[in-house]
Amino acid sequence: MIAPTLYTARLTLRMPVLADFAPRAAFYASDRSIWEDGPLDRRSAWRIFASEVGQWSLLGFGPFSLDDRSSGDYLGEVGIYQPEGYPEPELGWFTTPEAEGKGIAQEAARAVMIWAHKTFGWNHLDNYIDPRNARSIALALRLGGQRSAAPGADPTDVVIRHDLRGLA
Amino acid sequence: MTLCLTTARLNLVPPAAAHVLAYQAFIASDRAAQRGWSALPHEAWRNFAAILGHTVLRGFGPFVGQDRETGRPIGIFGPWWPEGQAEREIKWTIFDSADEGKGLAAEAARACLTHAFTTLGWSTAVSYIADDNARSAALALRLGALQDGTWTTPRGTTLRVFRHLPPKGTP
Repeated sequence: MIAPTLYTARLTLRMPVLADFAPRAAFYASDRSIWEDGPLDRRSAWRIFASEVGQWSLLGFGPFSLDDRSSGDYLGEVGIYQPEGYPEPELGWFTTPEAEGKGIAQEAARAVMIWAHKTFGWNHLDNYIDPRNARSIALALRLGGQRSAAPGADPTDVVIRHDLRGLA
Repeated sequence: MTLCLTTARLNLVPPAAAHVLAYQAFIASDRAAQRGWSALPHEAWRNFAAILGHTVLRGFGPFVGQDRETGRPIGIFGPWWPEGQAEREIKWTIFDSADEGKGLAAEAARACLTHAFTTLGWSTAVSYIADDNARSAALALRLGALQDGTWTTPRGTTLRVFRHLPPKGTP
């Protein structure tokens, strides 16, 4: 199983490929990754990236890479993640520094939530976010999510739940 | 990838969800701990997922060797080249010590070497082996590999490099 290709107004969402690793490795090498267990070396970044890509084969869902529909530029990743130990599938996102602040993750996350609802019949999807990651929490709330008392991946995670039933 | 290899006693198949438990049991074993591998089940799950992701991203990857008669997973064997590793490698891991000493890893490794040098078109391949892993070093030599110095990983672990020669009959 690999990712289907989805389209939004500005984005193509597609199966990740090897070339997508470089921007992820750069993210993990930088201080931008402090709320995602970073900074991490290239080998650790590979292990995380490859394990997320491998979720498509094991679970039938995983990360979508995001391309700008007009330029073809890689802009980031939005996906659904459930490595062993996660109580439920998690909605997550990452953008390159160039793509930040343009609503890219928001646009892609909406498409992924609609896809998940249609494909699996799920009625909700949660974000697990480090409580100090204010930018990500703000995005989750902007998407219409509500803070939830459900468990996250870590006991300290902020869990934000999205109701998928009204999406279309 | 639906590519499979067959040896006298093993079917080498793509890793799949059905193999997760066997892999986790190996990672939790004393033999894995001796190799310095993490023993936490959720870490093992991620490592296994990363093996599947490797195949997606590289277009090649390791196989799970299954007993041809029973289907029981014996170990993981094959081509491996994660980012941060200097060269393309042929790996082998037997899950259960009860399956060691029967030549199964040699049988699987030979099939994987032929696969790498022919189907994948590799011009060279190595196996990285820790100093204290005498069993693997002996197997590498038995496969015809030559010692070719050492490689120090980005994390500072120094491993012996065994360089494989193209199998006979390889163009």
